[in-house]
Amino acid sequence: MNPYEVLGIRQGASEAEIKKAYKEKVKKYHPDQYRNNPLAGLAEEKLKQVNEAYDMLMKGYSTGSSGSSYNTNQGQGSSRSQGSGTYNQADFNRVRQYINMGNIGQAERILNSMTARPAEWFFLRGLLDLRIGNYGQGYTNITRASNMDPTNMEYRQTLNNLNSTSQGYNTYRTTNRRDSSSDICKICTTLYLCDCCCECMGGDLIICC
Amino acid sequence: MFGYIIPDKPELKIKEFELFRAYYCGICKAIASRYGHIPRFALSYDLTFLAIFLSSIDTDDIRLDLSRCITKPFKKIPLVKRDKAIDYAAGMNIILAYHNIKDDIYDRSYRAYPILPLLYPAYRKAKKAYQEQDLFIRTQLDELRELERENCPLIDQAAKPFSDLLASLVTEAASGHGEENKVLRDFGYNVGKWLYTIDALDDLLEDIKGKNYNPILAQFLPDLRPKTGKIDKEKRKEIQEYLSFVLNYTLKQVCLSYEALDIKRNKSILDNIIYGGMYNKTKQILKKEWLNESI
Repeated sequence: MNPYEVLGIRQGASEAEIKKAYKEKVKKYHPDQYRNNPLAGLAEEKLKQVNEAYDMLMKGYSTGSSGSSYNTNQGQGSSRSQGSGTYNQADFNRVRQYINMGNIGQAERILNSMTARPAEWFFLRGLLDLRIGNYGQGYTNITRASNMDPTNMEYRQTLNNLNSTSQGYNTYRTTNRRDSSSDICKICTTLYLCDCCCECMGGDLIICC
Repeated sequence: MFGYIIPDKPELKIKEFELFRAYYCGICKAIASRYGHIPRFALSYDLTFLAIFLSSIDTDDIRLDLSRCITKPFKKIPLVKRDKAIDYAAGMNIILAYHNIKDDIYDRSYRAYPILPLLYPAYRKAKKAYQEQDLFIRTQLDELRELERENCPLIDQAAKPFSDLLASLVTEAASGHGEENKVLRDFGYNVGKWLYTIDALDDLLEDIKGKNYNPILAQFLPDLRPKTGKIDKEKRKEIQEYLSFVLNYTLKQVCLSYEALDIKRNKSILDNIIYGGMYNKTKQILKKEWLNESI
């Protein structure tokens, strides 16, 4: 896959150009645009390609000058305005530290005191919700953060992890139980298919089949 | 809210099934000998699970006994002899059943009226033995009733009192320390949350018709006219996805805390219930026809 082609930019485009193109493509293929549309599946495929292309290209650049990533602006107290009111990146960093230390009360207090609610706010609120047992709320908030800022890999990754967690429970039971009947089925089926393939090639794995 | 935590019977070994039954019969006998024969109807599988679980983390071994059962007068059956876990489960059965019935009366379900006085003497005795627990249960159920009255529009919030209730049921009985207590609390909390949420989903259609409070209704369909019972396809999908996440994630948390514990006995039965029974129940309720209709 040619990532430049997927994003529709020239070879050797600058970081800013890549980001701009990515945002446009995400907007174009966003699932919200394709609700109840038969092309939704195709759009999803395209979006996946766009994300892969973006990942590939960004690997070549140093991490984060996108203001919403955690590793940047640490302790620099940069202010940004979004919607109503301004917010301070340092506040978000403090919230993250409190969450990591398990100090839920303090983290909540800081979030509640903020008037501006950018994507990062919803993301951190979601993390808190998961911690205190409000799983539904957490899922809603993290999804919202990801929708507000589709370029943020952290939000996307967290959401993917959540979705796979809830699938993951299903695999729990299969690893914890040995269902021997389906193993036999698998073995027999595999052998039969091998035999068919072998015969196609001119040989014969199982003579009596 | 009871009858959801059951074993995956076809997957139980016969010895495990017999042991499960021995617990069930053991609690029944404990109720009979301590509280009389009438309150035996309060017995539930979910609290049998609690007894099995509490046994599993306790240091003392259980003792099995051959005893007579009133339903089988000619054959002695094996049952678990009365011990801390059995007595506790018996007491909690009575207390929870009593409060449940009282709540039914509060919701104006008059068919519960005649049962309450039958249960009251047993309740009084159980309350005396487990005063703190009874107080906590009452507080949590009061809080739940308050949330229902206010038509609480958040499933997580509505589930909290019952989750905390189960958490305390586990931690009070287990008397673990420090880190272990936290894991036990998480286990109880998540089992409680799963129970409340799955019960709400199971009752959803009925509650629409009956105008009862239902947290899923309150969160997703606050404007639904009662008795209509028609939910459009988009909404059904939304509810299905949301509930699927919450139920599976909660179960995952149950598993995580369960695995962090030092299980000394009954592990195979508990594995069967947690990974088999609860999983099947979740799948069964989520696959309900009305949720997945393509019309």
